[in-house]
Amino acid sequence: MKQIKLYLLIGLFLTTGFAFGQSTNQFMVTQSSGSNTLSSGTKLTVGSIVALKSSDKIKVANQLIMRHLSSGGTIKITESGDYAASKLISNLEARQKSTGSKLITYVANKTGAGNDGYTRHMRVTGSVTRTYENPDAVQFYIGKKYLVYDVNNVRVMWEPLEGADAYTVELRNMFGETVETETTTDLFYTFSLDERFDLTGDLIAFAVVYKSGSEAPVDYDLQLEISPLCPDVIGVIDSEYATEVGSSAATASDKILEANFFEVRGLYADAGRCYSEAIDLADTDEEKAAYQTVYDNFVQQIVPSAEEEAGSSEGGTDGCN
Amino acid sequence: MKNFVKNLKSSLFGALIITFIVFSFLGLINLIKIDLDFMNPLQDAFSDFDLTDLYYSHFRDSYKDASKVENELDIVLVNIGYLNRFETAQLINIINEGKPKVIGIDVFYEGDKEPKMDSALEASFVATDNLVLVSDIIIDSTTADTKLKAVKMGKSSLERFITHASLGFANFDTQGTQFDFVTFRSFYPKAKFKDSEVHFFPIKIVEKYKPEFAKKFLDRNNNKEFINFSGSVFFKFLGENVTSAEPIYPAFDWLDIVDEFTFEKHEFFDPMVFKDKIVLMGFMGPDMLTPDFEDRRITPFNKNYIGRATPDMYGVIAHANIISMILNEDYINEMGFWGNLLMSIFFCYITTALFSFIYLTSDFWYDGLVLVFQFLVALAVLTLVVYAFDWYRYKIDFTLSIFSIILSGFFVELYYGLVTKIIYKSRIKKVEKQENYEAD
Repeated sequence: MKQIKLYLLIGLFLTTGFAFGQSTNQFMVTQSSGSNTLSSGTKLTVGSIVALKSSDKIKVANQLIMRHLSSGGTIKITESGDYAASKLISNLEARQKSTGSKLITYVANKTGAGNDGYTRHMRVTGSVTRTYENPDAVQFYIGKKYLVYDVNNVRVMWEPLEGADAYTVELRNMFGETVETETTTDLFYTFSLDERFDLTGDLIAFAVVYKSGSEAPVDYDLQLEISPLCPDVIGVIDSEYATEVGSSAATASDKILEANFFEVRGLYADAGRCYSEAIDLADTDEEKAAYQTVYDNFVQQIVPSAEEEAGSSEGGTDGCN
Repeated sequence: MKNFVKNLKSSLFGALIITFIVFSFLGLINLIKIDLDFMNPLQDAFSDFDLTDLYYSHFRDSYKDASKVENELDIVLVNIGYLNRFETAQLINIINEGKPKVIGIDVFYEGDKEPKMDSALEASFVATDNLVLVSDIIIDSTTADTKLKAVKMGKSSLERFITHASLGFANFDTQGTQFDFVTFRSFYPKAKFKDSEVHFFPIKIVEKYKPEFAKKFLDRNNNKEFINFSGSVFFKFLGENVTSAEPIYPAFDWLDIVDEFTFEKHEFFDPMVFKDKIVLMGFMGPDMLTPDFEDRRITPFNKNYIGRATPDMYGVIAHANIISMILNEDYINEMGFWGNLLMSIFFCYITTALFSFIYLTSDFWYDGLVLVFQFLVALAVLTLVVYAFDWYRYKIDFTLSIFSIILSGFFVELYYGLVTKIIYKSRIKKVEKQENYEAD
């Protein structure tokens, strides 16, 4: 009997020890932007209560604000990235200072010679920024907005960058989260605009391409926006495609025909993909050179007008509005 | 030792006279009402300054009891951006699916719009169980200035909307117009309209949510109440130099709730987040990532507490702070006029006695020591203000004390350098006259 009591006592001790070791802190999500999740996969949406364990990791897509339910302290994450819960909790505890210590710090900072007030100066310019040139980021063909018909076969194409042997392609969803990263030596990258990007019912993707080994550009101006045609337009194109192009284009000349089909309808992203695929499918070098000329002509004629159209439709994203 | 006692006695006696002179001087200035503001640009900068602002901007944090945190998390803010009436109706209908306890809308819906839009909004109002809308009041200058301000009604939403809602006035205690960058610090809880009493918008919301808390607050019967600010909502664009407010309230942008193109409910949005909550709908920018100055005000959280400042809080968030204050019963009390006067006289007397003693015992060091002492007094005042506010939510106005202390240094020199010498000389003359008379 005594032995059983001893085991029970040890069991209770171990359970309590484990519980304290894995102490949880309850938080309510008060603001959330983008798809923010816990390492367990739990989505962090506004109003949800999360028991944060020190072993947890938080993946933040854009920004996340959480309030500690027992103390009222807030955790404020304003940049995307992966965050260790243990560090966030210890930072929160460290910020809990008494009024007296805040008062002393305030007086010391205001009167002490060591205050860093001067570093806060000269951080504002009396100017505005209108352009941003990143030498490591590519210029996309056919404007900065792709409106695509074939969502399963999206080809992003760009101009060669001086001194770049390889390119990193980063595909992001509408909240700026990176969905796919690939490195290529080609001047194009093909992918599917699938459910990975469909976070809120709006199928939309962003692509950034930059010189491999350099830092990913953060400026929105350097992003390519890709969205599908709206369903009622797709219906019309489907029937015309079946009549004019047929089932599937398998040869280089078929691809040129297909490219023409898209070009006359203003679907330049799909047209560009077909021209580019035609070059890939060419049997001989002469054929390849000929298709390359056709493609170059297309780019020279189309790019300026496509960019103009993209500029005038700023604000619209899915082509349905 | 004999000298020490003698100087101490003279200082204590002199301090009595000087304190009397200082307050007579201040009283005289107040009586004559000399307006020297045009000569003093500092006056303008400091006119909107309150020492307790320092508390909010530097010492306040969001740590508190769990029950108070819970009350704050029961207030959910929703940004309506520039949605039209039809779109706002869609938003309200989705919010109503979650069955909130009260919806407060901090927007005036003036003038007729397209019938389809107005009908949609009206229908959404009808479907809302407890709806509170805002009204605007104007102080009635034709009536006497009583404790309970007599008011006339200013603008309001269309009759077809307000018939389905309770009204609360949204006017804060500020000087300036809707377009000025005014500071939100206090408000009038109630006013008199015709023969009835009208209440402030946040109080009206609490009346619907937990009426006993609203009653308790109104029973304080204060003419004016100060806002005990708790926190705000996070806006990336505000920058590090603008506000020290912690983002404590749950907040949604309209884009989080409805699809921006179809205005149908977002696939991943669950309206149950509003269950039994207070939902406060108002303008917090076209969306919460885009800066806008409409209805953005300056609060004590502003890091720039003197002079020109960037507005740091949208009006609807200030309303949320007042609701928190009432639900948490975390009110601010203020020292009354007589208490303030007595305290100022006490401080002035102590300071003057000390200055007098320094003047009489070490007149060579007088100027330097007075400066050091004034710095220490400033520090003591700051500490007192911060702790009185932190521990007891007690607001002490030190303006009179500070003025009297500043003036006391000047009057000590005047008293001992001029008045006592004149008295001394007249006494000598009197003695000489007496001696001459006796000699004759």
